[in-house]
Amino acid sequence: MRRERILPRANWQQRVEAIGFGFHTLDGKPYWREDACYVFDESQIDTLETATAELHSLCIEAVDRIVRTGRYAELGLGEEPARLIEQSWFDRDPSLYGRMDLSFDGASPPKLLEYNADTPTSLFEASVVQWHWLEDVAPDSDQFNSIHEKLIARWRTVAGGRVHFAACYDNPEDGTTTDYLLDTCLQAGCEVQALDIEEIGWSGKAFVDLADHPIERLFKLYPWEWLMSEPFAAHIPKSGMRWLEPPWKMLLSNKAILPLLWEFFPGHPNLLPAARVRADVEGPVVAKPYWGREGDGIVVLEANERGEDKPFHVYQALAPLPVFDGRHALVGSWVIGDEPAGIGIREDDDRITRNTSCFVPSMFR
Amino acid sequence: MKKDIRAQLPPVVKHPSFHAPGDPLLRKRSVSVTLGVLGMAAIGFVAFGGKDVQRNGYASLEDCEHDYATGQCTRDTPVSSSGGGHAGGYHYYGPWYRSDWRDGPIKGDPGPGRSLASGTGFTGHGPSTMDFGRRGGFGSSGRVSARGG
Repeated sequence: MRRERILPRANWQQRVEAIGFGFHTLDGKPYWREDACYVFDESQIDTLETATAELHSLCIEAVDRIVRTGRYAELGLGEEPARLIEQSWFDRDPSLYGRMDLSFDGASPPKLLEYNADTPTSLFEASVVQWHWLEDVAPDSDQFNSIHEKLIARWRTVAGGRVHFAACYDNPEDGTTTDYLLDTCLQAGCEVQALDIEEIGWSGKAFVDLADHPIERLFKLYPWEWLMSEPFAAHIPKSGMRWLEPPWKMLLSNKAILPLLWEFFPGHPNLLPAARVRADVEGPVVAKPYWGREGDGIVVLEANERGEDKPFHVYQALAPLPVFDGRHALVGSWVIGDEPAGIGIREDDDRITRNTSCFVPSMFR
Repeated sequence: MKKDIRAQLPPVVKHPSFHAPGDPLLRKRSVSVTLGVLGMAAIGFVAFGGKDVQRNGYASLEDCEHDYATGQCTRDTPVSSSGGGHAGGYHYYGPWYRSDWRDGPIKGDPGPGRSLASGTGFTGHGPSTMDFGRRGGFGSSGRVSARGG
């Protein structure tokens, strides 16, 4: 695994915009960077693929154990979300996608930092933009990226008929991610309908779209914990609507899954020690809120820092990201359905990856 | 008393995600990445305004069917907090219809709405309440925070 400095394509901005990627530059700074790329060898990609499949299996096993033993309080979940989770798990509601954030230096086993199992973004960049980039700059190289075709195949499995898509469309990243998923759903042969999350209505019997048609299956790029805190939450159990991601994904997108994974599978090479109490993890740790997003609320505590045990926080052993050219690189490993499907690399000057971190394309030879 | 879902689940039932995936692809890269509608327009952006819905509530089925055709009335609990004089109780409701109070409270009512619309005086047999379906019940958290991860 290495970072190579390369020449960007001429007119790269126009090239990425031509395929629908409008937020390549944020606040005047590049979000998409193609003046560098990450290069892996085949065995490293195999390692990432195997670790992702293994971790996803562990997560599925963990969900089953939590549901069967009712350990929702340890994830800060009350009665209502617990009922939804149980119902969706026992109804076998399928999932569409997720992204694991891994610390991987090319040599040591990848370590799971968190599983963005509910509302992962940077999907379009990983699936489409870097694929077109490879076609242009290194068509003879390979790329761990079959996200697009796996998404289309997955839609054929999980959805028939009409699927509604809801997001906060005033946010370009959310809008692009959701519209891309809508596109793949359309290519899978489904009917699709988009609406802003605020435009969902309640008829008294069902959630409805702007034409007052009942919504039978909804993809929402909107976190479950937010849905559950809002006025329409009371209607969810009786609505009969199917959700993507399903409610049981609330267990995996919650950082409190990390101590439970460590408890269920102690010493697993792809997991890090984690606990809800700082003193239970030796050495430097990363304090993470249960429901934090995009690096929000994450604090690194050095070995001699006791910190304070905050409610709804977990403490995970620090697994420093590898640094190349002064940039901390994070591997986002995509799961479509239940299969590993590809990676996207984000990098930052800081050791905490945030929503301002840059996306850098990758390939392997 | 709530139903105990766990008690009904046989121990051998497994979520489909437990099943092993098929053989991995020999290649790692998508054969082709084609886009259909993306890029042509902002798909998800649609105009919104004046899309609230409401229905008339009645004290009896007879009163409801005085205003609507038989079969259009249902017995239900109110959706909105202002939707009934008897909190949590049942009423008979006509169908939902789009409303916009700027144009009058019953514009768009698909039924005759005779009792309310007659303007000849309320007889005591017309709608006793209005129940308001709503939009905007999701999305408030998204205005102040990042969404994706």
